[in-house]
Amino acid sequence: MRRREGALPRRRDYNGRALRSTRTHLGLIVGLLTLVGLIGAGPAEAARLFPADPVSPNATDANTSFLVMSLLTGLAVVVINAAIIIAVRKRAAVGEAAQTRAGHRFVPRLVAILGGGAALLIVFGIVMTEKSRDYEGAAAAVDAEPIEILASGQQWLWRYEYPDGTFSYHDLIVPVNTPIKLEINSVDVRHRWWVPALGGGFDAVPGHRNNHWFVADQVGNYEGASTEYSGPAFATMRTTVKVVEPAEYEAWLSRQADEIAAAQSAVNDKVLRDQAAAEEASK
Amino acid sequence: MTPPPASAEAARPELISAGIPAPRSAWIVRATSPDHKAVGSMFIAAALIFALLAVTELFFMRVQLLVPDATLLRPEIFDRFMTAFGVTSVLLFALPLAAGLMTYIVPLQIGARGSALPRLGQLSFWLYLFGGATLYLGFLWRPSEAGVTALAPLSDDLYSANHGVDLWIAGVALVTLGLICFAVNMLVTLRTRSGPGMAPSRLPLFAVAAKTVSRLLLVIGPVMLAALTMLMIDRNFDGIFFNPDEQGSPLLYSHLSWIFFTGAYIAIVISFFGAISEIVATFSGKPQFAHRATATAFSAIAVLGVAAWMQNMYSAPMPIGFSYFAMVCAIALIVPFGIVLVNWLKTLSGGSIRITTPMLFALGAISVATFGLLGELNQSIIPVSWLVGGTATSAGDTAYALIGSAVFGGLAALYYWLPKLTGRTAGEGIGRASFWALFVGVHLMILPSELAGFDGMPANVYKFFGDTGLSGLNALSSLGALVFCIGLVASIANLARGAVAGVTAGPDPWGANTLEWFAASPPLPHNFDLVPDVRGTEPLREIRDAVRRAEAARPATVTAGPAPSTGSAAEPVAKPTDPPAPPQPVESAPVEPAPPGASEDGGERAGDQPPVA
Repeated sequence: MRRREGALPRRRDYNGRALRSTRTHLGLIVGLLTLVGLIGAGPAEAARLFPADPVSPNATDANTSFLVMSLLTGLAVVVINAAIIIAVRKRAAVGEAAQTRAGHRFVPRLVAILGGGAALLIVFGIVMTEKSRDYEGAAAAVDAEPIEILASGQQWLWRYEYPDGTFSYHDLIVPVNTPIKLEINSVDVRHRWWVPALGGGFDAVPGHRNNHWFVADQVGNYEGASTEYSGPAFATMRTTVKVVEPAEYEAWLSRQADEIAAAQSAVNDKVLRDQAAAEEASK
Repeated sequence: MTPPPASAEAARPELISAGIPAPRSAWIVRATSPDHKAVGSMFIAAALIFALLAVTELFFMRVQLLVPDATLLRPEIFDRFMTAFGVTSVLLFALPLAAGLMTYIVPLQIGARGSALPRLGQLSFWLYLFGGATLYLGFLWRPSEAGVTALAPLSDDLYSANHGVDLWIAGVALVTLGLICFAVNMLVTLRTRSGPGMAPSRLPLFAVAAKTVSRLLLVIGPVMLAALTMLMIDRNFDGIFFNPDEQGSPLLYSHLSWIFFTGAYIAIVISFFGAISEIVATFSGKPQFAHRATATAFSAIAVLGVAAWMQNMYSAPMPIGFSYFAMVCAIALIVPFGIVLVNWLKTLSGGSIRITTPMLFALGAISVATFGLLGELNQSIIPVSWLVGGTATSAGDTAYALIGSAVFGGLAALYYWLPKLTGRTAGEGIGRASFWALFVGVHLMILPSELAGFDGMPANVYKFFGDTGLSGLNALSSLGALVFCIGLVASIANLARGAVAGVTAGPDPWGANTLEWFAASPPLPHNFDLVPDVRGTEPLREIRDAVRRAEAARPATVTAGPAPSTGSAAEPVAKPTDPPAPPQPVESAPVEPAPPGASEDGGERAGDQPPVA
């Protein structure tokens, strides 16, 4: 502070550098936005600015809520930062500060405005939540019987159990346009089953049953991960939901059942052989 | 400060020294002193040392995430850093920094000659320091790898069969106990040691924040102690609390720990919002706009913020009504946060703003914290939280809010009060440079990672896979973290250098209006020779005005110090180089004495201007 005193008398302001700082401030924000824009501009990276495309009605609702709220909060961030910059740029000279005092109606009005905004957001939140929980509506829109699948988390993979007792690890294979009711639990520590394209994440808590559902309307592979820290190999605990045509699903299911049965009988045979060999040896 | 013996003229020198214990070295005196200033300084110093540890951990974690499929750190090592970083940044840096500033400053602000329970204050620091040491003791063997909040059952002995988690529990419990002791001491001090006229409605906003945060800590601290005790019993005595096989519930630990960690988050935000309020008012040359509404808003933030703890548990298996309760509380936070924000902006607008380093950091804190708080608002909508909860997006919003308040607000407060603590100002040049490094760094670190979050980047992962297409965003984020770490280390070094070798500051280098600037810099052991009568929220401004009126009424005679010059707008308000003038004790008229800041502030404080509509 002391070093700059020599430069001060030429300006009415306390601190001549402040104006430059404000400009730098603006420049930095513009620079950051440009940077973010550049990341988004690359064709491969364009999708990165938005969450994965939703393929289930409840995921669509979640995405809509996210984008609406991001727009609102982003706007608020811009307005607040602009207000700070404007206040700094239009500052008065030292000793000439405007003496704004709150009138006796100011705070109640402010509370009313903010409270009104909060009430609107609460209504928005409840509507969007109820919409994204509307399983009946989503199930009625497609004419397919719901499939109940048990998703079981363990360190560090997901095990999926289908209605006929078939199971798979890592990958969940489901038919398109069919209501899938997931029951999520855990056999050891806490996990979270998270597939953003299918509505988001739900906790797997040992001793509790959690529920989620989705109706995928597009064939494809949807990546997911576990988002609840669960120990050393947590980062590798990924999952893929493969949405396939119903016929393909049935084919996969019987193939998987056959493979499991074959593997099981191979194991059984080996056990029996080993037992027989042990009996031979003991005789 | 040993008083001379009463019969000095009769005593011979060797006889005098015979009865006096040999002087101890200064650091022992400070370390063993129960004085709130010594305790506060130690709190701040320890918090800054833990900040450097947190910076180191952050640096290693971000270097690991610079490239996909990194193998620099083994997963266990990364998890140790990640676990230690969470507790270090929140419980060993941010909250203790706030507690230290409050321990030091608040008694001065309310015109107290000390804290009410000095030994308890001392205990609070040592509990905190030993808690932190206990946590880091684990690094000698094997520290906790159970994650930031040590969620059961991962932290149970079945899945974390090493004593690192026990050390974590003991350390966090000690720190929590320390914070509870701090809160009791602070509340009793505010209740019983306020100077004459310091009514609750006249408390400076930082003292209001201290009061609110102390009450909050008294609510959330015992909850965490209960959770930690249960976890300790579960781990060591085959307990039942969180074990699902024995009818226990892991969700119970979630609830208890989230009450504490949400409360700690809110406490950090309120603490530094209190400091920011003071700084914004001081450097705008205006009184705080709607002081009482802001003070009330702090309480509302505390109540609603803690009540919204289940905002972190929307995806847990619990009835949707629980989530609705949390969502309503979380969205209702718009009202008190909005009041605080609007009051800051109204205080700023039309003010004669001086962009000094503390002001720059305070404005940066408002800017950065709004990113985080509005991001949290975004995620208080239930489906949004389902979509991005647990990813780098939600972690980024929390980091924005905490960095905005604790790093930017904390540095603003440190630059602001360093002259009071040490009698010296920190260098402006490095202060500003470090601000811009931190400001660029924080956005470069968090914005890309928020974008990566909803595209598949979970929080707390030790690596990410190259096939996810997140390499560019993570590299940017690591680059930002590097800039951020350099800025933070530079700023802490600048503060440390300023504390020992900075330009000498007067008692009131900023022309501020609260009572701590009435004391000398650094304050006398008993804080004030004379405690002025407080008649409003800005006692020092009233004292200046009274002095000016008295001088105007008096015929032109020689006055002590330079006469207040009116109207020379170019003259800087503060001259940090002026030697500290001890307050003149005048017993009869409390408003009369020439305060240390009055003679040097140029006389053009905004208070003597007619109100402008």
